[in-house]
Amino acid sequence: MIEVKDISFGYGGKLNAVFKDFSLSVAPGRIYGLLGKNGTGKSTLLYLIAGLLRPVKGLVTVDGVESQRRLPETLQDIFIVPEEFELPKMTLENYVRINAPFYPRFSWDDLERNLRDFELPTTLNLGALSMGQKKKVYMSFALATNTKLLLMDEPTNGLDIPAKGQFRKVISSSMNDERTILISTHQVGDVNVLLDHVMIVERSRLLADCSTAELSELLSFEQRPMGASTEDALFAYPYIGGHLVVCANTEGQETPLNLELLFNAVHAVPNLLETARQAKKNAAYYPH
Amino acid sequence: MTHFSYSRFCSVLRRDLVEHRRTYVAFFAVLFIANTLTHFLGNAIEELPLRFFVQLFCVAAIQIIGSCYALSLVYADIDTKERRISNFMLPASNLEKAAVRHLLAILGFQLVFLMSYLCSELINALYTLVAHGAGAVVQNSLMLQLSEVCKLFTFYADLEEVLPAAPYLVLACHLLACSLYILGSAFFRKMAFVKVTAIMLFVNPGIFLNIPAFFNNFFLSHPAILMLYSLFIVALAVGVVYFSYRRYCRIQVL
Repeated sequence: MIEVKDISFGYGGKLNAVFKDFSLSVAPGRIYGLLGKNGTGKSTLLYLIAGLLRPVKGLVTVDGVESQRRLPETLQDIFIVPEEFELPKMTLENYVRINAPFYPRFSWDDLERNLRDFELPTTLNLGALSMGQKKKVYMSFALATNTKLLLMDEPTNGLDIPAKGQFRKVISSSMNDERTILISTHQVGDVNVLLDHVMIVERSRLLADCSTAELSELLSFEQRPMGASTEDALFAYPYIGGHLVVCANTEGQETPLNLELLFNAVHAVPNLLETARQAKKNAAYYPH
Repeated sequence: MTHFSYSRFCSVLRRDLVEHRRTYVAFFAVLFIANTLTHFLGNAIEELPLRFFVQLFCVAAIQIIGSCYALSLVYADIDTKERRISNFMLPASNLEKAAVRHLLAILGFQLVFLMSYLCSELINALYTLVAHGAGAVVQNSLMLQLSEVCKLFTFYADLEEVLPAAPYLVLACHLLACSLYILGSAFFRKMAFVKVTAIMLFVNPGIFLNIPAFFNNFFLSHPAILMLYSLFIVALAVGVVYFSYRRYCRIQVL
């Protein structure tokens, strides 16, 4: 669905290159989590995919069409929820009336359902909403457009605690086999259970590009008390009263995915996944 | 892949009208107040030819400044990052979006101006009716006196005697000035009108101070060349508008 091929991009010339010969592939029907440190190009990558930025070199295509051409036929299948956005001062009904015609698969029923899940009424004055409420309305509308590709930049920023759970419910109920959702976030705890695939980006490198199922198969995430051995761990992180460790999952017992720990682990051990794969292979050959 | 679809164009137009309705109402209000003040200022002048000259000058100035201001807003929708994202991600072609903005800045503004002017005329007529009686209504109406007033203006007639193609040149220069405001709106994210006006005030005298000598020596004796020169300026204006559009198409969300 999305192909990013050998792109180079930078702000203000070569000195500030964000991506150099960077490639990426995104398949339909999944929820992708795009993680990375500040300034590593997560938002830039979303904008490049949406066609809002043009790579200096390389190609970004969505369903085979170059996104930077901003063709209406492509745009009606892409919706981006940026971190900051503006909603016009009007009623929600008017907003939908003037924007929905651009999206052939827009569903008013879906919008109502999403708003209901966010505990918002359908009669709203957009000018009188708080930032968090605006975000809920905007995301509800974005999901109701039923575009094939939905890009979300820090979607849970500004949402209150109950809304984060509602967000997960709304996203999962709006998913289907044709749709791809790409979520760029630092709030890994908010999206942990939603993700089908994790991509950890570090400038021009993908430190991890793996499905959550495969991650659970490969790695186990444990909390060990102080004094317990961490020799078998691929990565150990000091924690109150012990260590959080990432080990190769040689036992075949899946543990809940800890994205924060994974994030720290892949930054500290760049070949973490490869090492885990090797350890798993070895364990299969030489069972203890 | 269609670059222009009529139904999408109508959707973009409707969206723009609804989203910017407050701006259009504000435009109407400002133009209405300015035109009404012009009428009342004119009414204070006793001498009729002078009154209409002042009124006509003021209305023309409001119209020209207003239309230039409207043109400087053609690409104003992309002044902030959030608005650029919203504009560029709207599923319509760049041509459709730009065409709507041009249509509203050119025809939309003229329509709003006309409505505001007619309303101010109506207010003026009502005031005159109450204050001076029915007989004075016709005398105080700029519109009704316009044909009479036009006879006072011999500028074009005189100019046409010397330079038969002069009106075309004036029109061409006006089109070029308008196109420069459109260009300004594509380049300046804030205060495009002020910036373009300032640039034109500084640059224009520099150019035009040197032109009269050229005119006297060459153009005056060659009306056909003056006509061609006018056409060249129109072509330049079209080029500037196209360049502005290309710039709009190339803008990124940096």
